[in-house]
Amino acid sequence: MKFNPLSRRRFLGGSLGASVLHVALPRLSPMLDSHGVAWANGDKPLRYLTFGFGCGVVTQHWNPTAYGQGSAWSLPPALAPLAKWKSHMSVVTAVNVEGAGSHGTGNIVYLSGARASRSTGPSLPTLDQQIGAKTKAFTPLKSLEVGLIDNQDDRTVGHLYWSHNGPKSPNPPLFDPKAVFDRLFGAGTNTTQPDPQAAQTAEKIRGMKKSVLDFVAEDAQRLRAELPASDKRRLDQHLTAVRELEQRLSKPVSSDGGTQPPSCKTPGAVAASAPPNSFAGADKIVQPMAKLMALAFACDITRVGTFQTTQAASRASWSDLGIANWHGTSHDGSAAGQEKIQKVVVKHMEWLKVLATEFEQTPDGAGNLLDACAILTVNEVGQGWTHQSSEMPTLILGKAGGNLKGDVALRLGGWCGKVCLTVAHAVGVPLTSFGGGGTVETQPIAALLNV
Amino acid sequence: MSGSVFSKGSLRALGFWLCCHGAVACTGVSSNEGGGQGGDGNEAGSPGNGGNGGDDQGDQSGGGGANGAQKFAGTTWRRLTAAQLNNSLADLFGTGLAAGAPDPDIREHNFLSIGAALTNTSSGGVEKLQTLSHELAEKIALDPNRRKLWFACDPKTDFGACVSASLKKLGVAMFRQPLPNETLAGLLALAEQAKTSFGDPWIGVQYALAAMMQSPRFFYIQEKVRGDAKPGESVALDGYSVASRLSFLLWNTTPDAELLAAADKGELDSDSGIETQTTRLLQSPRAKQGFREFFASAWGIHKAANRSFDVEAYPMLAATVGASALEEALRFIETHIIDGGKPLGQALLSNETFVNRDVAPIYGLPALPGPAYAKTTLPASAKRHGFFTHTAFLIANSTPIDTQPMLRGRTVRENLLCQQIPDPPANLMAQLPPLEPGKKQTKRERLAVHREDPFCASCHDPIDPPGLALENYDAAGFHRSSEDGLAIDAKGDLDGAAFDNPEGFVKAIIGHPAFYPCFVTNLYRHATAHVETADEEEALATLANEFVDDQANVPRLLSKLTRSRLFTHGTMPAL
Repeated sequence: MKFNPLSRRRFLGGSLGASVLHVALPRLSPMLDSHGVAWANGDKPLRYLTFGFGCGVVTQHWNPTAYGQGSAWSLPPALAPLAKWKSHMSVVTAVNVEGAGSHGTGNIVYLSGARASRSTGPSLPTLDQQIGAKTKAFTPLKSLEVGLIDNQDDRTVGHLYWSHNGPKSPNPPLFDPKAVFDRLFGAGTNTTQPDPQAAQTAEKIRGMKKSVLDFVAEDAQRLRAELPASDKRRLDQHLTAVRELEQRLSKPVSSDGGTQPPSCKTPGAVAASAPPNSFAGADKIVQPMAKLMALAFACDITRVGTFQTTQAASRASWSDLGIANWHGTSHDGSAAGQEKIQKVVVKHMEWLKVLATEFEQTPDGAGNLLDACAILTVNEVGQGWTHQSSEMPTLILGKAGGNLKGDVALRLGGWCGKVCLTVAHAVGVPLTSFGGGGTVETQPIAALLNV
Repeated sequence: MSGSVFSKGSLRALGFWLCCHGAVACTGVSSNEGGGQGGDGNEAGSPGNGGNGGDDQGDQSGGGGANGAQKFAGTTWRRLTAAQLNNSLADLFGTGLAAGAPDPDIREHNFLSIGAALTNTSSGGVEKLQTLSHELAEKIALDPNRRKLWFACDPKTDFGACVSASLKKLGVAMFRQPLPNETLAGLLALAEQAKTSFGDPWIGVQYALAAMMQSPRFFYIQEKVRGDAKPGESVALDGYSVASRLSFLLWNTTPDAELLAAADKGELDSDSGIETQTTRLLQSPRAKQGFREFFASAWGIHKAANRSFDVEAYPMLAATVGASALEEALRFIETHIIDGGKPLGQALLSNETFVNRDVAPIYGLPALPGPAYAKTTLPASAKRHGFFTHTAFLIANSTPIDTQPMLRGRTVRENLLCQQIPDPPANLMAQLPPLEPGKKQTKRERLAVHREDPFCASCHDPIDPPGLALENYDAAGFHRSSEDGLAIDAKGDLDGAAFDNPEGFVKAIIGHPAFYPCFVTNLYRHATAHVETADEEEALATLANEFVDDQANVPRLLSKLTRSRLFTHGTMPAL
């Protein structure tokens, strides 16, 4: 397959050859295309996205009643909004987080396969960051985190964030589409200037911004010598981000004309908005957020993302349904309560539908973004009102470039780490193991992968 | 901490917790709580890095006086909170430079300062800091009114000398300590490069400014001990570090020129120098910023600001009622505790508060015409018994329609008495048994299941009763004597002090042996951005005793704290 590669990629291919080699991929046949090239090497990018949602589901409406491939299984009611993409679904049930199912822990235990505390976060990086560590050599951003609903008060990093670099290192999402737009297409990434003089000024600004970053990084080394070991680590993480910015600015500004793939179109200005704290507010920004995430992938600005909807134990209100507090409702296991919970779960899947539609409509190589990605749904609990740890609602949506079979429902059982390891393999980052603290997975789920 | 109903960590070790919100109860547990992959204790969040150098601790002389072998807190390196960044920019370059936080603030152990000392800054946050720095640097360098605050000379006439002198002065103010020569040289080189590139000296200045704002020296507050102490050794902090501690505690902003000059002259090496500066800072209008940050966090009332209520249940309440309630509480604190200097316990029993049109209906007061606050002594009909029965404290833990007795109780235990409650066990069956059709129950009756099941009771016994004691106030803080037609029983017992009603309960809180020590502990945690270790507890207990003996006067406590070795000393970390 061929589309016009970004000049950025050419540039990075030249300057970061060592990093490319660093992506040590075993020569597993499912990971290679017809030319024997590893998926993640930049020619055929695959994408990973965490779809985070909070407060659990009604398990009997989430789990299929029959399992198998193709016609052997049919969609459970919770996934009805996504019916169109049954061919792109891998549903895995009976996946557990071993007693960690609780608000603010189940989600991050799931995504890290490791111990976690809601106040400090997971002890290992989450799946997106582990994949991003391998794909960041090819893209300006390691990852992009966006969110639809922000209920900050009285909550911990475990409740609020689905993406972490390890303990005490959350990657907070952006809740304002304009902020996302600025991060993707703002100063420093703008590649073309029609007016030569403007182009010259832009080039000067780029050069100065780079010099500033150089100064910051260099001067920080003197500060570093004075800091205790644990603070040195914090400074180092800060400086890693500084170096990422530097690399972004190292991209030549003026030589990019006409080389973006057609699906990468910089949108017009996006209006700023306050972070929503309700379902109605989320409805207003889900479309632009989905569009921006699709563009981030289409323009190969990053290959890894997190799309949070409600947070763990979210207090978001949905007045149309008479819900003053989603978390409160999620604890009502009565028949009437379950009916409401199911409606909220379906609402989340409708948001996922907006995202999947956007991906499907974004051409990517010979297919579209949905073909080229794996979207993993992650909640902090299984059944909401029981804080259940043994039925974590797990859907993988997308074909990961054909690495995922799709149209399969599997009653797996066992530790969540297997799912994450499989997803990593599917998107071309065959981690040798996933998880820590006693349960380390080394074998992906063969039944989901095309071998 | 004396007066705890259980020792710190004892319940944590069991891996138990309470149910997580007011409408649920504990009716079952998984077979796998505690130890598994998701053990979820509140880890002791001390960011201090010292104190583990391996030296013998020797005898522990307590109190704020003797130095000896007392171990003090490790130094912290913490990023500016959103408020501190905004306040600092306003103080350095004039108001109107709106800046969002690069990353959202993280609260740990009730305080943003502790979260700021523990949390890593994300890639997105560093990028926002970069974007912000370039925007603001341009605004400052190209605005004659702003740049003249630091540039007394004209860089167009003698660029090198002018920029060097000005940045040196600005550098001390922004970094809160003198600039190393290499740092200044690097900034001058940047300024020169940008001047040459753009042909404008002020653009040269602009990029040097941007670099200073992006520097971790600005974005993080660094604490250092004096001289060349050995790792693990407890010695005095250097004067600049004391200046930062004073300023961020008392003003929640960066030290001003006078404070930095005092550090430079060595005046902050002495108790009297610190006392002089503490007094000056406390008398400044900016002290309000410091008090507000501390009190809003210490008692959990910051949460009130985000509360909104169901419009059908509370049609009379405005959407801004939460913010108004917090403002009411902060004015109350300023008036009675700070300016009035009343003994803390006595101040908290006052019913003289500040009412605006948003909170007036909650007290059953007639509507007020405008948004202004009026100092009001609540009438007996309002049935209030001081601060803990005023709006902010009551609504801080409510849902839009319902009270959450367990969260109210947890706030009493954790924020007011410094008793740690473990997080809930995983796989908790967090649901009350269903009500029989047609049967009504009060919250107390519904939560009775917590008493009956010994597993539930282990966590709920400490937290349910103090929450249920406030059930006479509904979710939005309205007084009520019945719930759903059933009389409310507000009787209870707080660690041996029986009470019959909210008035008795409030007095039981203030009379609790842990109440004043906890207040001092909270202040210390906030001021030093860390949770005390065992090494510091004795000195803290001494300070608490002095506070009680000194009529629980909060301004004088601040003055005592800032002069104490707890505040002025630190332990040299292992580098």
